[in-house]
Amino acid sequence: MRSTMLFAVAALLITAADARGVDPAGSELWEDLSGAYLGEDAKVTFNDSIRLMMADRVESAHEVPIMVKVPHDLRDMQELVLLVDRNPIQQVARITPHRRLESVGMNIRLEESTPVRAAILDPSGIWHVATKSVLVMSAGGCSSPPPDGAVVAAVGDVNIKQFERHGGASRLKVRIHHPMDTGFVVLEDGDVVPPYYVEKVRIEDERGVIADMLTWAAMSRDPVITIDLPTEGQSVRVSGNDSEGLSFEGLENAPLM
Amino acid sequence: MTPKACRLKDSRTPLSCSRRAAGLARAAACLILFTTVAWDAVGASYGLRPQPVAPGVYVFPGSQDALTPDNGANIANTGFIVGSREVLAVEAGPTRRYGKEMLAAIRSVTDLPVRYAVITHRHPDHSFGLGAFREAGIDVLMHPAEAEGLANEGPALLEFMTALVGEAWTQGTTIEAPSETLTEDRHVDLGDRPVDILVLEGGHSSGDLVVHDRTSGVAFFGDLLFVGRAATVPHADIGVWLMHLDRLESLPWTTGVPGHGPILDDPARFADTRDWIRFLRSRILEAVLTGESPAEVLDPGVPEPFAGMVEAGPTFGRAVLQLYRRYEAMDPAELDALAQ
Ligand SMILES: [Zn+2]
Repeated sequence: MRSTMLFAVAALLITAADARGVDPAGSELWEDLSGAYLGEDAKVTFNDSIRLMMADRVESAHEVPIMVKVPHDLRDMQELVLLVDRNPIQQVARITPHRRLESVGMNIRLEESTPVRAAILDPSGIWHVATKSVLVMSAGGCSSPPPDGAVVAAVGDVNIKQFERHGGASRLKVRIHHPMDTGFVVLEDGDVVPPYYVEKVRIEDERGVIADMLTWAAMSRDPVITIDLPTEGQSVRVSGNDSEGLSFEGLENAPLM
Repeated sequence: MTPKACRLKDSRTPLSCSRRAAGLARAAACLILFTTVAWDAVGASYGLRPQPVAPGVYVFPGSQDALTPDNGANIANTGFIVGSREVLAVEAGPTRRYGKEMLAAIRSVTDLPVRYAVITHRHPDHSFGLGAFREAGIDVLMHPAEAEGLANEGPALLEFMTALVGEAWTQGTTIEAPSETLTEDRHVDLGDRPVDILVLEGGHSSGDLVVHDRTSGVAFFGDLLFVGRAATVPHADIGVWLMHLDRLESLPWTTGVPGHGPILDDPARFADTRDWIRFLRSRILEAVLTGESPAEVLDPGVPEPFAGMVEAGPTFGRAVLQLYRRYEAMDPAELDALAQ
């Protein structure tokens, strides 16, 4: 009786693993995480050719820079999703590119040691997932008050920089001034800081929309979004809104740095 | 470790301490529950033995290691100078226990009273033992900006350090103020033993003190000099630091005691600090100017020839984030000046 049950459970696990891939990080949360954010019936493959760059040992958990290098054969991706298994806010951002992107970066919060995932949806409907396991030395990137820092500029101020890369390619770097409050921070007096974060970002230039993004408070305060385009930079417009309905906009007409 | 378990509210954390440090401490307090529970409190002792480096000058060499429950945060070099009348101690070590053991070890060499303790800067491995010196009525000297930093950041850093090395070591340690501050070079006489205390501001920290014993030619450089270990830069201005290193190199010293690492008899290993902080500055400046992400700077790891230094990886990880943020906030003119 018992062995039959065990067998049934094992069979279930194997089936699930087949549908969602075998998680190289061995996280027991991966099933639920991928089901919730990539879809219950998602076809998933773990793909080493996607480079997920970030420190593997993190001390400043409120602001962890990451960079996803998209391999050539996935640059026609339909969507890029950033997930953190062990965050109270597991979904960081969903990016829908409207043209080929070579890499996407941002700064994110990590609550504790966790696998971090970059999932790329190819045009045939398969998710390609890169995983990096990160040791967080000082936990609480989502739940402890942020470090003191420079006084935040007006909420919604957008700062855009463009950089030349080799071969006529360019990099866009967008900083949005925003507290990105998670809703998990309890102050000394017991008050909870309510969630308040950037929800939507659109990046476009003279040729049209480059990318649309849905974002959550697992992005750091004053989030920095980096996008590599295979073409030269042009006049760029960034717009969006936050969870309180504030819309913001930034323009950059200046020539390349 | 669940986030909930980490959300302890600690009423002992004074409001004056920085929130960031409080966050660190809270997180580290969680860490300790899972890593150092088994540490045996009874056996903790630093086993300090004075190592003579010149007549009347002794060093207690620190471990070339990370902060661990094995070393109790004893990672910095400390020491003392004996005159015909009195004694000057350099640094107070990382805990009150260390400070007490240091005083006992000095007494094993001389009965003369310890008159001064010079704390080179605020960092825990050098300053947290100073309560033991104050308690013994010894004049404790520090730069005022460093004393202020110690008061502000000390309590949270003490919690953080306790989490890393264990309470067996830090028990009884409290954050204390120096009895005297100085902003200009000072000359003291320990009895037929003239000693210079030099003030070097705004390089490695807001105010580093260097102790130079003219008689023996021994100089205690504090953390202006790291040998074989990656220098840390949380409060550093690298340009000023490099100038300070030039000044220290030109002092008439024959034996050099770095804040961390082996004792020197010539300045060749000044390169350990100089090359490293120059590399940090130029690499991170380049990243800021070309729009590279810190993630991309960190990705290849610590390059040669620095990879073999003690604590190179963690120090690089911290330094890239610290300097990147600072350089990124500069205007183009400041960046230009930095690039010169
Ligand atoms: Zn030190």
